[in-house]
Amino acid sequence: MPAVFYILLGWLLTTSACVALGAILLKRLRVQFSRDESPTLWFVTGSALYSLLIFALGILHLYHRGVIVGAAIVVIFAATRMGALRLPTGQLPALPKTAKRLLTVCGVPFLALYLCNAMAPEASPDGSSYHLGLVAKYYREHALHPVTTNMYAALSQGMEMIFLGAYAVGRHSAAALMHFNFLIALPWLMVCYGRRIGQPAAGIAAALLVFASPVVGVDGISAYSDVAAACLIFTLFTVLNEIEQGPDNLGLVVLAGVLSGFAYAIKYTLFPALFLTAIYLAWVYRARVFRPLLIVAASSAVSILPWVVKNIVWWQNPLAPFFNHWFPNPYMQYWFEIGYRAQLAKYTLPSWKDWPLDVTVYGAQLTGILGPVFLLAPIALLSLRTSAGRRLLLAAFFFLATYPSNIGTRFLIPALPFVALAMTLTLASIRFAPAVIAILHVVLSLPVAIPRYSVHYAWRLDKWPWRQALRIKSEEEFLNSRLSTYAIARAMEQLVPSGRRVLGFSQVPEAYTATIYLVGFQSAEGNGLRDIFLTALIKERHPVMRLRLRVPAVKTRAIRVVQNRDDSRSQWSVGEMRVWNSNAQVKRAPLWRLRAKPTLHEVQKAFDNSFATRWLTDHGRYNGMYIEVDFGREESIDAVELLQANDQPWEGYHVEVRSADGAWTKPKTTIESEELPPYQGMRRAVVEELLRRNVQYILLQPDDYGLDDLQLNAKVWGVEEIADRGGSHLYRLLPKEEFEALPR
Amino acid sequence: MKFAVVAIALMITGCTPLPDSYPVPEQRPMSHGPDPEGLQAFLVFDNPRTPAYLISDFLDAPPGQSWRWTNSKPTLRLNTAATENIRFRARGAFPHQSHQSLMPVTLSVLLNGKLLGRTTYKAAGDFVFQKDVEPELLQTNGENEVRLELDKVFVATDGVKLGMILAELGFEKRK
Repeated sequence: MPAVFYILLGWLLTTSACVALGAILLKRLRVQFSRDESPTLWFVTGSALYSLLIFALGILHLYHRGVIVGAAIVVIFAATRMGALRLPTGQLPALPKTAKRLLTVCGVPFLALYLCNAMAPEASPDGSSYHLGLVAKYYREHALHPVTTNMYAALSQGMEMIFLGAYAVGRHSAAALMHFNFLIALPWLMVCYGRRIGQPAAGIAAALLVFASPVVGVDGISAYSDVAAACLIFTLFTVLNEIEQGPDNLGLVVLAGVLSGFAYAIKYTLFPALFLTAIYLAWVYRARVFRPLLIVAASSAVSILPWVVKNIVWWQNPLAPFFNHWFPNPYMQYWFEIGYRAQLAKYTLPSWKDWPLDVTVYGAQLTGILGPVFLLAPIALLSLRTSAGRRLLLAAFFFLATYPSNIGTRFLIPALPFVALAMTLTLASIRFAPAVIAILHVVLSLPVAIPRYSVHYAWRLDKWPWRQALRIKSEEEFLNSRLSTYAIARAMEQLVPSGRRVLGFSQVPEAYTATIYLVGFQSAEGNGLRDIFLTALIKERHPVMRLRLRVPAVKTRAIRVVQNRDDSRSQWSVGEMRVWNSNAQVKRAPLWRLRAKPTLHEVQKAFDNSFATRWLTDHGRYNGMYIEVDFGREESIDAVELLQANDQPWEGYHVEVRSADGAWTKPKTTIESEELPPYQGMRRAVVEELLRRNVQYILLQPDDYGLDDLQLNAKVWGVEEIADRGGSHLYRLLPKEEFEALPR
Repeated sequence: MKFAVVAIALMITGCTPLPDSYPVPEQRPMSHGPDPEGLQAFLVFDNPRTPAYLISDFLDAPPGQSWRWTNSKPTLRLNTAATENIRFRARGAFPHQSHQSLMPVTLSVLLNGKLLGRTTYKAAGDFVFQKDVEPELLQTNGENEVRLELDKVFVATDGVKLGMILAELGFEKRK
């Protein structure tokens, strides 16, 4: 079973490298935890450093198996030489025997379930599409490099760096197993926390609440980052509590900074970790807080800065793919961002009244369930009576603060350990209550129990694929049964020559294909290509409204059309802009320079003589938007023509011309409008435009708009279907000469 | 730290500023000239290329008009590349003023000379004829001839035979 060997090797080697780095760091910082916690804390803190190491190797174009394995061996060797891996002697208070039994009986079956699912071929939606899709791409190309056609490549990818280390040896399953590590580390740290505060039963019950939670399980065995995020945050919480106990050890402050920074490197939404750390330090150090804050700023920057700088350099936006309004760039569209954020803040949830049952019981709208027992979460508030409860709820508050930005169930995971502990602390005063609640939760979370109350398509684990985990059954068969687009992804790999680009509108498991696949919504380029494609299908987008803006004849070096309306709900779009003089079009010349505000980088679409492309402002209308031609010499002009779609206002524009001194003047503008007959040949024009933009193939999935038309009118478009797998169709766009040779 | 500085410096070497203006791009050869496309699978009668689809028994109409009068056996050609999961749909009307006294009227639809379906309309007014198409009735490599036959037509005072009004018809994907 060589595949299993490599999976296990990749997993164990990467895990060991993380543990070794963490042990070295803690030794250098002179920070020591209990014997029970140390290996877990070494792993979590070491992950931050390992991620950074892999980032650096990527920048240096050193993604080769030998280098990655070599680096891991050197790190493990160094830790051993330094004696960093020697376990401390101090121990936490022992666990009561009954509590231990509860942990074993309830935890072990889930551990086995999770292990075989994590080892099985990676088939999670996001893991197989972009988390590992990008990892595979970086590894294939031996470097971290800009992938500006995929917005997920702009997110901080601290976790992907850890995946990459394991992927280099054991491919997809080894990467998923790295996330599984955090899935087992998190409940163990919760158990240890319970022991620290003298509430071992509450700790064990809370750990089981989190560990058995269906969404935590399915997320934690996949190449995702939510459970790692939760584990990291909980580790930070442990460190902050330790600082409270021993404020003289500044090594702990450095550690808190490293963990806070790595939180940002794993997930943008964990940035409150920095604020939580700052508040804790302010509370502990009071007037002497300045130095610890500086230490945290410096140590967190080590993990944060690489991602910020990467985005500044490659995406021209430090916070890409968000905040494109503050940092305009050619790679992401602000208009898309508005819609995307709105969608993440709402999903398909009909009303907030449906939210509690959906995230705990049904899983119909928000993908995944926490488990029905979490309907009792409000009792966590009663823990405010205790100092531990107040600390836990403060942390929960910080990590719930970003939840409204994405209300998917899995975005509750970072706050879940704190809520679970606060719940069981509340119940701790009632004998057996924490154990009863934990057992009830475990029973309700069994794969056989979940379908009795949740919707059948809720995201969860439903099988024990141990044969697939051990590769006794074929990976291909498993992936085909789990991923509806796996077959078409493989077909792309076989049928599309290297270097050719495929345009699609929905994700495919890119982790399993080396084909260059552009997803329409994932970048400004993709959205632009999608806009061109849809122009063929939606008549209302055709620029059939001709506006002629007449001005008194004038000689000028530059001219602009200014839009005068304010309407944040709609964009201004221009199919073509032409300049006229004495009823003749002023010929476009190489001397011309084109400008626009906003969205300058798209301006050429209004001057390419194509009705399939259009310049879009990417912002709601505001008075003062303009599109401009600098002639590079004096030109006589008396009119400007705009070809726009019918959904654009027919008035609310004026012309400005640039005088000799460079000032813009506003001659009297008269607007004439006329509707032109519909354009012909739009489908073919779209195909030729896509070819011109280096797209040679198009992939349409069953729910993609336009599939029917492409199937019915393949000859009209000039496309050839080369694969049909499970309702997904791959078309080759015929070059002009092939299209013209088609029989009519 | 040194390592981080080197790494960041290496990344910054890839930084290129955005231009403040753009030249005129390559001009695309689009015009209002002849349509390079072939025939489509579905015809809406305001399509400027409608005449290219029609074979016989349609009355003349000004360009861009969204409906057409037919005679008794309107015939036209449509092109479809797909044969699976196809449905034929036609939308039209038997106007009350002309056809009230004529009803019922039976409409037969033939694809490439083979009967697809037949329906009798008892009352005048709008109608939609739709029927799933068996793949063997369709030709994928050429045009498909569609003929609609009416068992009776209204004859106007000037002798013109008015079969029915059609607004759109053709092949669609079945959901």
